Amino acid sequence: MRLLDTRTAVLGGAVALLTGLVVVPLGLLGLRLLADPAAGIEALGNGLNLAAALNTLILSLSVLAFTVFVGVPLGWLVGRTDLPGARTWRAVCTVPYVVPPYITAIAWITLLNPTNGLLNRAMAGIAGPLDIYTLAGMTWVMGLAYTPFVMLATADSLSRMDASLEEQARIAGASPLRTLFAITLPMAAPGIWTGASFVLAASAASFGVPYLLASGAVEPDFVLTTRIYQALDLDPATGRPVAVALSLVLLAIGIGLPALGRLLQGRRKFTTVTGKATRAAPFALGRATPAALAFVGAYSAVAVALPLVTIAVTSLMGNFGRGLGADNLTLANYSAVLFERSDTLEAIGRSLFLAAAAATGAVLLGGLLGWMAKRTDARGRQVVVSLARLPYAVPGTVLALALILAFSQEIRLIVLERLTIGLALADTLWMLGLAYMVKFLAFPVGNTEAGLEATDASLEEQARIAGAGWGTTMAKITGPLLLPNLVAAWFLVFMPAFSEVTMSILLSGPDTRVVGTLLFELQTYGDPPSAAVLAMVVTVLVLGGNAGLRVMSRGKVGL
Amino acid sequence: MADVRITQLVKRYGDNEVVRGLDLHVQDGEIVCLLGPSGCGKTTTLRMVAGLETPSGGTVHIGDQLASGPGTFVPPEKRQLGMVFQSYAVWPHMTVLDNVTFPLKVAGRDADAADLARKALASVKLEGLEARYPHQLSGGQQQRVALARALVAEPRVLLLDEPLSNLDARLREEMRDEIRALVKRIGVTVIFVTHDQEEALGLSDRVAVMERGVIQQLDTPEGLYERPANGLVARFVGTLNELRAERTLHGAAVAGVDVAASPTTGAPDSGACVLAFRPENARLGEAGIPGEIVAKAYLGPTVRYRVRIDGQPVLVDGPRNLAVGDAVHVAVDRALVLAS
Repeated sequence: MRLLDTRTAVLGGAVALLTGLVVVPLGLLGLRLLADPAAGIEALGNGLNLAAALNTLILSLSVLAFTVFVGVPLGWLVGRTDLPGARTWRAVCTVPYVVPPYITAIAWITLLNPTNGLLNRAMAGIAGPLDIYTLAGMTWVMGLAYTPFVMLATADSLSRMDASLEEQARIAGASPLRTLFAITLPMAAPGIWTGASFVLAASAASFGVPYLLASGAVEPDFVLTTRIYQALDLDPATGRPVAVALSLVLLAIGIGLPALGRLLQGRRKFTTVTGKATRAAPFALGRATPAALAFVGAYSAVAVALPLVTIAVTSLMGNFGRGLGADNLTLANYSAVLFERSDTLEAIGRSLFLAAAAATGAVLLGGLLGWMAKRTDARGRQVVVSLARLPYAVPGTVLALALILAFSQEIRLIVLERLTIGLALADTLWMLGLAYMVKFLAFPVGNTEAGLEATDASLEEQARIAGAGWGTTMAKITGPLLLPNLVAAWFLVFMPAFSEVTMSILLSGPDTRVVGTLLFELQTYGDPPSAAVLAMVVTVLVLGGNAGLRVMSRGKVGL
Repeated sequence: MADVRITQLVKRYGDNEVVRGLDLHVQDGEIVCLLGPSGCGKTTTLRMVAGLETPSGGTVHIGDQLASGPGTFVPPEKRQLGMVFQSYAVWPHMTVLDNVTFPLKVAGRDADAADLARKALASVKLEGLEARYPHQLSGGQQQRVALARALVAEPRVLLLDEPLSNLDARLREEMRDEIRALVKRIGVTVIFVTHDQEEALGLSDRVAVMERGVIQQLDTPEGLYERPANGLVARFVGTLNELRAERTLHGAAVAGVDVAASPTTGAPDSGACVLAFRPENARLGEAGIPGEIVAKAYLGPTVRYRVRIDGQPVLVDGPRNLAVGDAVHVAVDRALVLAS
């Protein structure tokens, strides 16, 4: 008997890779904190850092409030009422889910910046200029962007709910409205909270929107992510201990706050016996229909139509300072950005390549790990899968910092034999590719597990009996059977990786700019039309990719 | 072709011992069935022969090959077996022909793969369906594909896991006879697993009744039915009447009537015991154990009566002219003494 067969070797390699890319970096980050707690305490004593932590907390909670107040009614309207065109509204309201929030931010900067915002110019004389470069502005933009999380969670938990529970309340004498508040919404609360806790985590971890909305302010409001970036950007040597200390606070807020919520929620978890779930008759809106349509229409306008139109118009403007006008519209920006300028072209090419490489790597690694979890009895396989999912829950800023710590030369003694590779990684494209792969590894792992759960293990066992070794079975049977899941996972990694900015801004150097970082540069250094063209590229790609994915999977997969 | 020798086979999952020191020798060319209720360890045993589970102890020989034993474990692809799963496991992304040629292709026999596959498909009466995909086939046809695929590479042993349980009653009987005829013509050794006694008795040369992780009895279908080794086997194969009784020299006494009966393993030499017999081995008449008819059922060729004896119900076949409420006597021709 061979001591090491193919299967053990390949799976062992996958686990080793995961260890090197997740456990070592995050572990090093933790060790840094333990090694010098004094520096951490000192960093937290600093007023600027304390303010950033407070701002993160305020921002997360106010975005949560915004998304719940807007998202729950939206979810109920599109999911449980006879709202005309509910399916279409639902699709429209889901668009911010797919388009990166920083694009919404750029649009609102164009509309509401205090000096020459298009809306502010239009309102001149009627109302004083509104300032988007504030915490309130961040709440507005992120609230609009993250509302779909709560809306979809609400709509889904309402559609899963057994209608007989509501009907029982009606028979007991409750009015439709009373039933809504006494039965329907409380029953849907756990599902709504799932979406809301995602909003909390995403708000605390968000970098792009707070960065863009601080960049134009005279006295910018920093949050933890932007403060960490600033500390590292100003002086890597002195900034690093500060960044490490702040990332702990960020982890505490970004992971701790939702966990705390789940804990509170856990006490009142509902298990309903769903015999034959009856489909509910939709709630009749009656005379409230126009008001409901106005509400859904207003959200669609400010969260979807206005930002996208603004970006599209900006991308066509010849001179941004001159404002709107037929004589100021041109396609020159497109031809410049897409065909002439070397920096934009290179960044687009780089992002396409990196996103494709990261997606391919993640699908291979995640596929193997997911297979191991579902098809072997290897000890600790559940731990391995949890580790593979962990980076998605860790804020991008923290993950990038951990990767910097792990693959910079300072830890040469800790990273044993991989030292040369580790050294070579810093400031290279590989670093970005690995970061994307690690961050979005959760998608292929989840898709593989779901696919294998729906596929009888005997299909693979049959191949072994028929004489095929493990490798052949994986290539000829398992792989082809899982192909739809793996292709979907590939796109789920590719799309966010292409538009990624949070980690990219920390990990890319001047020679390795990607679409996201270049877009930010153009936006903050005074070339909004070119930034808008790149934003259009990102938007078209993610919306097109998502639509393609939905068609391909018959509506089952999509962001 | 090969025989299969299993000695002291053990499988533990944590503290749970599913197979506990099982011994079985299946002769070359023989059809042996592992019969037992769910959870008795029969499927685990089959999967250990296939190499899909690693035994915790004991050895499995397939022909001259030590397939698994202390320090040795041959992976499934190196055992030269054929297997039909309960789910059929027909690969949905391959055509019928690709499914059946697969075992030949992985063995490097590309040249004659298509020819042999066509022959195998013909032997299960599936000519002309080579280009179809599994979703275009009925359940019965998918099973034939699975059977052709299992046999195409001339395996040393064919393993069948609940092969007929997903078919409807009419097709099941047809398939059972067809499988038996086919494997006997080829001469391949067969081990199959089922919880259905009719399937087991109809298809096998010998049946191993399994319960609690060991084989309770290995015998021909007839021997099993007529001479069950113990109560577990007797109860699992066929219908069995059981009456509380008192052990006597040559059998057992019920309601003061002494009935001649042969003792099984574990039966006591004196005191309380159980008298067991099959409905067709008893008659209703003037002599025997007194009782009263409480129900009557027409089974076509016979009439089966439910008779209450000493407050306990038994089933006995009898003449057509008796009625519910009649006092009768049950004469038992052949009976067993079981432990109570």
